[in-house]
Amino acid sequence: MKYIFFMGKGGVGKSTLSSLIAYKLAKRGEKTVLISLDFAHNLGDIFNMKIGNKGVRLEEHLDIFEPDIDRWVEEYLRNTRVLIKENYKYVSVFNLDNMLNLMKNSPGIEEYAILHLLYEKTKALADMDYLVVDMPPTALALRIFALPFITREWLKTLLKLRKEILVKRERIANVHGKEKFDFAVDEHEDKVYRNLKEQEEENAFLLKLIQGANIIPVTLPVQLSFKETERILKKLSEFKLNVPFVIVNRVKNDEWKKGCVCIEDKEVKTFDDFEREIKFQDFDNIDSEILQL
Amino acid sequence: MNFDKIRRFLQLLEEVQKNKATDIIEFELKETENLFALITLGEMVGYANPPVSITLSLIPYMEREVILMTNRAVDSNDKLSDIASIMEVE
Ligand SMILES: Nc1ncnc2c1ncn2[C@@H]1O[C@H](COP(=O)(O)OP(=O)(O)OP(=O)(O)O)[C@@H](O)[C@H]1O
Ligand SMILES: [Mg+2]
Repeated sequence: MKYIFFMGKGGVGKSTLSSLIAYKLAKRGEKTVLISLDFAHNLGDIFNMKIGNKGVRLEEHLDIFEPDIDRWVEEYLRNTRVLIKENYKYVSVFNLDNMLNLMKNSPGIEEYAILHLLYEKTKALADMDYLVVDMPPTALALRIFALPFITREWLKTLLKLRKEILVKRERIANVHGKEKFDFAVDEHEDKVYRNLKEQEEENAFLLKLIQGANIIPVTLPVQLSFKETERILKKLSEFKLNVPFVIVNRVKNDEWKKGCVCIEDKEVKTFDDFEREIKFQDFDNIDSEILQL
Repeated sequence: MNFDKIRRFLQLLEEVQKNKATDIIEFELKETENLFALITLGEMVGYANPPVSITLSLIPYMEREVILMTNRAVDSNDKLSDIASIMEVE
């Protein structure tokens, strides 16, 4: 499966363009998934239908999803609570409720929710040809791309520390006899170690996905938007992520710039208008460009 | 058994005890230094704390650590052993 992420400042046309590209890929017979990872979904408005978590199949080859990110976070915290209840012998889950409530608003939880939803969808739809992603506005999108890199470093450190702890425990258990201790001494027994390993696996999958993806920044032909795009490009190149080209959206004919993929500013009301009206001046078809990535 | 032998035996014993003691201290020191580095320099790898996703995923399996942490908060006067107890140094 090939991955294409559209990102950029609020209102530059991420949703419109990701919809258009997904639609065109599907029309060519490519099995395509379009997914919005923005809190403020608007694919439904563009296609003029209710989409939601379960998704909608449009045409033969196009599946569209708008997962409910907030609901996922709440469910995840509920599940965590259930797991705590099942696993804890001495500490009551009520004592942890305050903490769990606080974590709903912790920085980083949205990024993780979004990545995990991406993980689940990708696993479930492994036989598709294209996954087109409509990303949230820049700041959050960049944090989403950064998280797997940060997580990788942390998991490395924590796994190493945990291994050391297990070795020390084993030594102590060997001296005093294993029966005396109620803690795990090897990697298979230790649920913490196993959980870290599972996290490592999911994270490695996401890292590979992101490193193999094509990220397409969208910008408007105005100074502010260009400045933001510069920052996006700088950040993405720090992580060595692939940016095949930038799309300059809503270009007026007279400010045409060569060397970029430009899209004219058109009077469009519906998706059908859009499909009919949009012309790519640099390439006949942006979808054929994308097909070559 | 002559007096000299006894004295040498005792010396040896003391030696061993000392080594044992320093081993433990060296170990605690190393762990503490690691922890210190992680907490103070964690920012360099992105976050001062691990991403919340790591914490949340681990919590259901960390009752022992939760207890260690709460005990520490209750009767904390010896910082080194506090930290050591978080790191589960026996
Ligand atoms: N080339 C274009 N010509 C005319 N109108 C356009 C063009 N591209 C986008 N628009 C319009 O601009 C508005 C914003 O576009 P869109 O919703 O796709 O942006 P977005 O980046 O997804 O915004 P948000 O950050 O709010 O999700 C829409 O009304 C859309 O129809
Ligand atoms: Mg949008």
